[in-house]
Amino acid sequence: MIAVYQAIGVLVLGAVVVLLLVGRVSTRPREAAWIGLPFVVVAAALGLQAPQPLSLAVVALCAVGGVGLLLVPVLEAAVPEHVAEAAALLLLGTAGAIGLGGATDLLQAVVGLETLALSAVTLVALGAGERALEAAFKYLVLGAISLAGLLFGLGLVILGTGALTFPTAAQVASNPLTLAGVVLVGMGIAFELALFPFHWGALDAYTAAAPSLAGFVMSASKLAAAFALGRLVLSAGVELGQILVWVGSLTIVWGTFGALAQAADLRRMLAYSAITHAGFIGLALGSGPNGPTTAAFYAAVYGSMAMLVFAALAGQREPRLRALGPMRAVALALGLFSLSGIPPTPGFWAKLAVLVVAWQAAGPLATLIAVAGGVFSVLYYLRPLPDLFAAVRGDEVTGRPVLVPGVLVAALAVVGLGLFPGIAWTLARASGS
Amino acid sequence: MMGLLAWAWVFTLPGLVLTALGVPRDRRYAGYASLAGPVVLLVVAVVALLGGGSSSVAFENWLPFLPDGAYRALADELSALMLAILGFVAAVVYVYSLGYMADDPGKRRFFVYLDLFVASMALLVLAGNLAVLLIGWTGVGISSFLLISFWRDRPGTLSAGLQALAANAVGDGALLLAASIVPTGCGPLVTLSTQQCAAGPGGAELLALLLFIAAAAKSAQGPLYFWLPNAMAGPTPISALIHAATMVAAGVYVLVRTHALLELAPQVSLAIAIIGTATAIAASLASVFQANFKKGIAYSTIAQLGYMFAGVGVGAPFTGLFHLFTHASFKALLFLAAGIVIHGAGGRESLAELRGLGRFFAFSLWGFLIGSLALIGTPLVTAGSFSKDAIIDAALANQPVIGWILLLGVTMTGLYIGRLFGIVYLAPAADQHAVHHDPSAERPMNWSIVPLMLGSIVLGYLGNWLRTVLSGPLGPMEPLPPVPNLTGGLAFTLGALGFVVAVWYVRRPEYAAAPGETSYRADAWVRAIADAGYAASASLSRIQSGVLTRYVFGSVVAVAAILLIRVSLR
Repeated sequence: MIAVYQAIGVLVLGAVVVLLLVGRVSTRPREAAWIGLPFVVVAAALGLQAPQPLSLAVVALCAVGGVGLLLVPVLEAAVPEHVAEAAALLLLGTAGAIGLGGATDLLQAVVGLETLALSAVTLVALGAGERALEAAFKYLVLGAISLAGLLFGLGLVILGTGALTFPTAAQVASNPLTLAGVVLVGMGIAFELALFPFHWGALDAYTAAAPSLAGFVMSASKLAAAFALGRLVLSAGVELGQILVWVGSLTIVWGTFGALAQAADLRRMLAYSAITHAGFIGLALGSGPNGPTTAAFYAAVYGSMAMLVFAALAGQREPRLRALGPMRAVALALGLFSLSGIPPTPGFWAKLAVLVVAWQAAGPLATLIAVAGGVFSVLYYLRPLPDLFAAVRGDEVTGRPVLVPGVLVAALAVVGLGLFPGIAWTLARASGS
Repeated sequence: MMGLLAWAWVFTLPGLVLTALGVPRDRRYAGYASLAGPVVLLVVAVVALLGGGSSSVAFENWLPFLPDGAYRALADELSALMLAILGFVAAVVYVYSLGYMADDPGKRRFFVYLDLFVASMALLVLAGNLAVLLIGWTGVGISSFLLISFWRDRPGTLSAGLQALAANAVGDGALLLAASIVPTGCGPLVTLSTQQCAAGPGGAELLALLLFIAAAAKSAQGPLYFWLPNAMAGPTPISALIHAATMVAAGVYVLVRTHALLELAPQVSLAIAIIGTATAIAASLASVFQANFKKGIAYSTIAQLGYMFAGVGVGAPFTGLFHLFTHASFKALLFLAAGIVIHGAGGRESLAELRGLGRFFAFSLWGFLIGSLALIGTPLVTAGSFSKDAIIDAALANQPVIGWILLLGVTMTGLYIGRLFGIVYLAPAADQHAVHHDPSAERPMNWSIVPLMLGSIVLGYLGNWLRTVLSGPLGPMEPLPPVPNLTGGLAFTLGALGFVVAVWYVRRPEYAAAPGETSYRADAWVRAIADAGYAASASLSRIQSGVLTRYVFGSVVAVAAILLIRVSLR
């Protein structure tokens, strides 16, 4: 566990260093990114020494934060000012996410969650234009409300058990107050996961934020929330799991229908897609003793593909697919294939893993909903493909084709997870039991 | 050779990479780098088939979260036969495409997709377990979508592609479910029927049903037929390779591969036979009313796949596979022959515009005639008679009612193919100047269909040899009926009657005002569901209004509701 705290410390230190240098680097975002990167690498190395599955959480979150940092230099078009602050907030958000994902008691979870949530809100607000600001404000207010619920639940848990540790199944079964507290805490974390019906603010924020920052917010909050909820479910037993199964299934339905309607708006479609994927994670979390492992695996995979998609879109205020250039168009196509779950991309393996546990523990109806949500997603993910082909041909590209390092790292992660999904799975598993 | 064949899905990948990278640089020779792939595939598959035996590849624990998460590839006589068919038709189609796509700006992209398709299809055929089958299964669906929507600027191509995706998604879902629900350790296709694997929830019936749904979606059977006629929006060589000879036959292949499981689920088998027969008759009927040349042939494909399903369903998987084998040759021939006329007429496909134009293309005329005769099942001189009679005979023996319906259905076959042949090739030309000959593009097209003509004539004689070769994977089978026989003669007489009547009917001058688009839209019910779905999604997404107070209200009410339900229900 010490390693996790050290990793958090290193990341916070990195954030402070970047902020101290902000006067110097604010006009030179490339430097901000290069200053931040070593801290992420060190944190990831420290995380490797943590017990499984926490090591997966730390490494995956550091990877997400690192890709976010690599994309800071291309942010300028979408984030006119405060580029350097974005780097500091990415580090701080990663630290908060690790705190939430690695929390051993409820108080740590709350502190981590708030650090992550406030960084996320600020990152969303950095985007250019009033839409981003408005979305960030809504995200903040809704986050505050969910925090209030979470803290109330925390109080109930203390009242019921007299301790801040994750309550056990026996404690939950014996005292309705503890049960109510656990449910409230679970819903508070579900807000970070963006499960329906707590997804409202997240959806708007994901749509309006600058692309690479949106990718970080989506990926990091899902990863951290999946790990934290997984621990809570493992400890508190089936009561919370059943809720998560149904909330997750509903989320899949909601996200799928929502995404289907977004024929013209790629960013909105991707935001809805984040909701749908949250539904898969929620469904997995509730699916028996192997559920949290599957959820952690799914979240790690989701992080890689969301970062890939948004890395490809990075630097664009409004997505103009035909102007992406061949490299980024191929990367985006790979990301969309993976999000929609086309084999042999990692998104497909993750979905299969969820179906297996869902069938075993959550029942046929939830499994069927997940299958339908999974297979019909091709109808919205593959719609932009014709435009991407035009981009590969390079019809309207201005300037030379660039492959941003962030795109490369994310693409390698997706390809690696697609070819060798067993590695991430094994790392996630040691965690659960 | 089987050991090499187990990696056959790799064969077209070098061509894919080279063509994608723009090798050779000269645009006129774009696609030449891809030509070797299918030829190598054909040669290796045929040599392996002659050699016999089997070979398998397994990497255990590749996907540790699945009941059977190994990478398993299995090359045996059955997969070798399928790969030989794939290699044969693909090689022909590649050469043909050099002519057909000669002037297309997207020629390179076309060959890249083709390579992707052949690789996916090979993987599908080689799949040793459900996980690998899924990769190939989805892969061919995606390539099919990409190729249907190939001419992305033409109206209707994207929606046709999305329709194909949606139908395939149903099948993918069924297969996904099958891969997820089998008990631990199950997944290899040949052992799905063991007691341990059939003991899962739902048992053999559920597993067989899921495989049937997947197969029906891929092979456009029953209510899931709607996407195939619209898939004709893609280039004609694609219609021949993917939507006639190979991919749509994958459903039949999977059912043949898992035939032991079907034997444990007699009700599912019966359902397969009934749905196959009903599809065969309905699609034959629909073909007669098509105003579009290619759609007319597409319905014929659906009908012939229905015959194959019926063969599998009545407990004679080999007859279904045999018909798949001969059908691949003569249906690809029909499409490619039609493509020569369509190409010569500047891409026009409607029967009214093509009326009488076929006579200016000798190869096309003879190709289409041979294909038609094989489709009807002319005894002794065409391949179709051997395989179709085998299905009808097996059906008459096991499910007489189905057998008689299939037998009478041959009349419809004669009617619809006679109608197409009469209108395009025998009727007086409406406008001779609509034809445009381009010898340099026509030459590869003309000569590439010659092997298919030969195949449509002689392949039927391989039936008894195939029966012996395939007795390994398929188990002992009843001998094929002798040719010619009574059923065959009867079927041919009916088919020929339909053919002659149709030709006479459409050649009359009164018929010159060729049929317009029929008011009946085959995909009406799908469109209705899709429209309802999009309407629902539009209204659902309006709930995301951007009004903060509503968001707060929604969240708080939700938390309260969950709490109340959870705490009060305990």
